[in-house]
Amino acid sequence: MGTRIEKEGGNEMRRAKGSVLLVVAGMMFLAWGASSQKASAAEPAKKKVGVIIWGTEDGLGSSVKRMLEYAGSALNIEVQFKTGDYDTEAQVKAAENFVAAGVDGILCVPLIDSGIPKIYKVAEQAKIPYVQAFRRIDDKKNAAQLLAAPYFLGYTVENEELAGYDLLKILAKAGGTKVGAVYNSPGSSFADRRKSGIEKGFVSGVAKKVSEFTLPLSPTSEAWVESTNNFINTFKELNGIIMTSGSVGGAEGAIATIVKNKAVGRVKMVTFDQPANSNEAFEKGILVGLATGIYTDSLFSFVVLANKLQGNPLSPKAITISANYIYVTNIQEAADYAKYVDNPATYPYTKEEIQKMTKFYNPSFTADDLQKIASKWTMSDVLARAKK
Amino acid sequence: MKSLILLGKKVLLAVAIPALLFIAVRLLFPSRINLSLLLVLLMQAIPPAILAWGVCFEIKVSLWDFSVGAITLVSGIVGAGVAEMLHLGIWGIVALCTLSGLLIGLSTGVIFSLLKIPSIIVSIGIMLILESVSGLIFKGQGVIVSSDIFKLASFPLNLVIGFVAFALAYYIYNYRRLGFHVRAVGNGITVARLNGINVDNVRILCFTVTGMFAGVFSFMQLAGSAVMKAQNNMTTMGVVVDAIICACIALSLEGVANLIVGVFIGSVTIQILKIGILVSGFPSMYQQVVVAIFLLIFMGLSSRSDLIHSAWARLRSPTAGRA
Repeated sequence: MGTRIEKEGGNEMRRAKGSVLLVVAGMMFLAWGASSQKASAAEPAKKKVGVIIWGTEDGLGSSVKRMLEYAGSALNIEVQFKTGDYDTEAQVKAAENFVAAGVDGILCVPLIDSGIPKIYKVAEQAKIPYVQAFRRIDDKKNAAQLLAAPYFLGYTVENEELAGYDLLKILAKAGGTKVGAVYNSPGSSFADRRKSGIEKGFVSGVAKKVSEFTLPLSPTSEAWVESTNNFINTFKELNGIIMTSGSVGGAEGAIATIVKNKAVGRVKMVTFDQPANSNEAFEKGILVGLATGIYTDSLFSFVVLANKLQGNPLSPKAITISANYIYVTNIQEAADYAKYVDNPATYPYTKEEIQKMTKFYNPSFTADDLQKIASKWTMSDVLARAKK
Repeated sequence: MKSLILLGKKVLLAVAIPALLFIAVRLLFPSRINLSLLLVLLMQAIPPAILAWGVCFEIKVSLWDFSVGAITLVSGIVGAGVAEMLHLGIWGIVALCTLSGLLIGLSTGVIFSLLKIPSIIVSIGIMLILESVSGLIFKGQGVIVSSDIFKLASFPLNLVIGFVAFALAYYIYNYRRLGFHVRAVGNGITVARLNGINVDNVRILCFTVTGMFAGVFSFMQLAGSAVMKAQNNMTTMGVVVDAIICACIALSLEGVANLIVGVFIGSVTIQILKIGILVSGFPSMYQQVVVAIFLLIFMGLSSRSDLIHSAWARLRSPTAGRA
């Protein structure tokens, strides 16, 4: 008997244990469900973006690649790059290949203004959003059409005119008041706008233009060397040189020519693009201003695209973001720039800051907020954030 | 005595163009142009002349080579890059750039000879390949060398390099079999072939010589900036234009000056023309147009010198025409 009672007691005990286990398991299941629900809400759905860019090996291109991959990891977006397409047909082909590869959106740096509608068309036909970096749309008719197009999200572009004007002011402030200007050959949208800003500066009396030289269409560094040489040896009163571009070793060539002509101290120089010997040139007092640090441009376009892909477009209309150049005007700023901006070990914004540029993580974020962030991109802002 | 007078006359005629041009610019802009500037222009004329000394071998045998700029680019990046890796210093750069240019030129020549297609097509193909190569080697970063290299483009080393390049070009063109063959092929391929000259070999060697001078030009270019960056999209094609202009002027002057001497005269002329445009305030974006117009006028005048001579003769004796 006793044994039966013991058995019944044991069965009840087992049933009670089983119930407790069931309740605990149920609670654990609910907790897991809740946590998994929380995880899916904490991270946006995985997306894939195709980036069409001139290259990712040069200074600017490699910085863009590094930063977009970093931003992609912050926003759960896989970023694929297509480089080396220098005409519209090649860029259209790149867009088509991206569509075939199943990307959810395209970020493009179009190289030929008139070809933009063709590249956009590929995205529109695939019903995926398209955004541009580093380029606006110069053709007014195309601009009007594209800015109203359903899948065109907008673009980020630098205020080149202002940068040209600002560089001339920096040069004049450093003593370069009688200036020789080296301009790119007409036809390049960004260089034309830089020239326009510089010319405005001359007209408004910021400095006096002594002479100007227009580079050939595809210049080598020899063209900068020659023009600098001729400026220095022909215009004895000249004390400043400004250039709309210093690529392919041009700025380095101009700096070397100033040294060779023993004009250090007499002739100051400002330029776009960062010369390889900029530190030395700042130290010697040859270089007094640089307009650089524009790789964040593509991040702002990427953020516009990311918001759209996450289902939270920043605006129902196309967004145009005006991005800044960072001006480096002395050796200390050059060192700070190398440390905080042009350093492969650092990023201009943290993952958290990038996430806060999206409505997914920051529901009150707007296109105006993005513009404010872009406008704040200055050396002093970089330093202030670095010190935090 | 007669030969001395003839030589003097030839020298005067050869230097007349740059001399008159310089005097004209000096008279027009006396406050800007002075004699010390002439020295600067002569130094500045050295690098383009080096390239043109190579290019004139090709032009003489009717080869059109648009890969010269790309050869300059790749030989500069490869030569300087390898020399930097091996810590060979600036003389290592000089040697390796020249060698790279020579080997690339030789390869171009061999490809041209094997494919039997027009040189202009082969050279454009080679240019595209080389530009792509410039974007691949050293991770597409190009090359940055120490500022020690600046001394190569500064006095007196630039003068020494220019003189050595001139002497080499002069020696090959005037005293080596290749030079004779180049002139023979230039005067007529069929006749040259009938005389037993292997035209294909001559052309391969012309590509090689041009490549070698492009290699020399590449380290001179590096000596101007210490940087050579990868290029693409046919941007190197323009490099050869100035060299072709110098070579064309030299060809026009061949009656009074040796081709190699004429190239340097052409290079100096272009520099004077450029400085004239700069000081005149004429929009420099039209510089190439002005140079092209000058070239057309100059070549037109030299190719129709018979008309000028007969006009001159008529002016000197007005009755001669009526007789």
